[in-house]
Amino acid sequence: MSHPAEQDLALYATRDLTFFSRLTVARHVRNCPACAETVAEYREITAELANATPQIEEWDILAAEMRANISLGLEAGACLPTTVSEVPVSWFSPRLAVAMASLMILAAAGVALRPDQPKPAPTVLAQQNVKVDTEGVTITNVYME
Amino acid sequence: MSTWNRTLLAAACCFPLLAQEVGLDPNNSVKIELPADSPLTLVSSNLGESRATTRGGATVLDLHMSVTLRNAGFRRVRGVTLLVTAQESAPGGKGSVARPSIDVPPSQEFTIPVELRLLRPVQPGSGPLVRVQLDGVLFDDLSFFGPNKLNSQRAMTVWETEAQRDRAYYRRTLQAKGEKGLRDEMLAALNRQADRQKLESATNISPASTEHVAQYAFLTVPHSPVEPLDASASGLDVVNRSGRAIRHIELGWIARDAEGHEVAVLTPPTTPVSLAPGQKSRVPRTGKPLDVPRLTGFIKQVEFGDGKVWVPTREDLSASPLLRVLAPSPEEQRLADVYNKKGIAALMSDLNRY
Repeated sequence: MSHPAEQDLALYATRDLTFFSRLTVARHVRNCPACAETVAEYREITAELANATPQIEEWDILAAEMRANISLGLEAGACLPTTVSEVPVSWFSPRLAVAMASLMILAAAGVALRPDQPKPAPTVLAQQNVKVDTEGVTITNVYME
Repeated sequence: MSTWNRTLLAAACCFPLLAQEVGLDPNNSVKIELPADSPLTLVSSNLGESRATTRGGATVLDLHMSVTLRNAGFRRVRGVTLLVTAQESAPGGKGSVARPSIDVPPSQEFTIPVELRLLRPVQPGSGPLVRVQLDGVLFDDLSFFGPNKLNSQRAMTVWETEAQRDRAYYRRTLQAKGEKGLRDEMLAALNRQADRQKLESATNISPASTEHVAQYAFLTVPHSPVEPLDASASGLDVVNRSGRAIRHIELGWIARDAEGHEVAVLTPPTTPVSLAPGQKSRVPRTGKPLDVPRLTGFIKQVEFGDGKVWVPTREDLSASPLLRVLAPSPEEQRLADVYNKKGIAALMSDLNRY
């Protein structure tokens, strides 16, 4: 007997499967004690996690971490080697090359001639924290960049 | 959000329980970089209880360290800002530690506590986890040294100008009214701080999805070089009444709730403006939308073209709601701390130092 994928069992446990997939998995689970047990475990974990969720208080920090991880993922993706296909010789056009070169020169000139703009200070991400002692005051910020 | 998504989110939240926490290696975890011509030199650094915790693809750095520096220049140091970087591009990867309200004579050492939580990617290999760089030093003559990447020059100049104003005020009080007068003033300052904190926690003012303010108003501060002309949802219309060019105006806003309580609204810094003498402009209101009966704008600080700043005088503060609703300057908070912890004699001695 072939079993549904683990992911489908998890989605079935949380009632997130599409209608027809749900019918298929439900029929299998009814006749398969092992998969029924897996579904029951998923439901138990879901209930436990749902109860645990309200205890989490550092949502801002968590959100910052998640944003950081997304940024890291994007950066990691950018670092992956890309597959470069060979351009057929017939694509080469002297006119296109001249046009592209002209555009690049224009863009470079635009960048070079752009007036100096004052660099904006970083945006504060976390709330400013102030600590006072008799020798001075310490003010910390964490920035959104 | 679906149940499955909630489950994933909750699992992500619970992941820190499984996170791996390690102390930082003092030899190669932190790199402290000062410019070659810096008036401050590094004496030592202590990582203390700093920890690094791996959470998924990110490392959370809980810094509880200190950096001891020496004033190698010939002027007294009144403020320092350090830039602390764990990751250049990710949110939460960069922080700063400013230390205003200090007074460090030449050749003297001083310590800056660094208490920050920063994020960086998990990267195998060598190299420091955190870079600590000097962003700026402010001296007693308001001159500045440093790359100023964080605009710390303006912030530190404002703090020092406020410090000079408040120290002069308490010195005048001591001279005019003696020890008892100074004690009364300090108790009044402490009471104002306590009242303000109580009022802020009791007042029902919170950000709204769309702004709804019944009345916009403005407050004229008598000695301000910039005069408000009109207030609206888009900001304050102002005119430069001084004979000097202005390059930055910081607005403050006081929100009044339905019960008539007034509190200062936290607002992010405004964008720079360029205002010639006599010129008019609109300074936009920054910050989140509010749903309050009344919002009053005022000029909180002004930076002139030469880098000097204007802040309201003590008389301006006393003659308006500003003394009551605005947070005291860092220096006034420090002086109150000296009085609280060491008593009136220590406060008088502190005021007589400079």
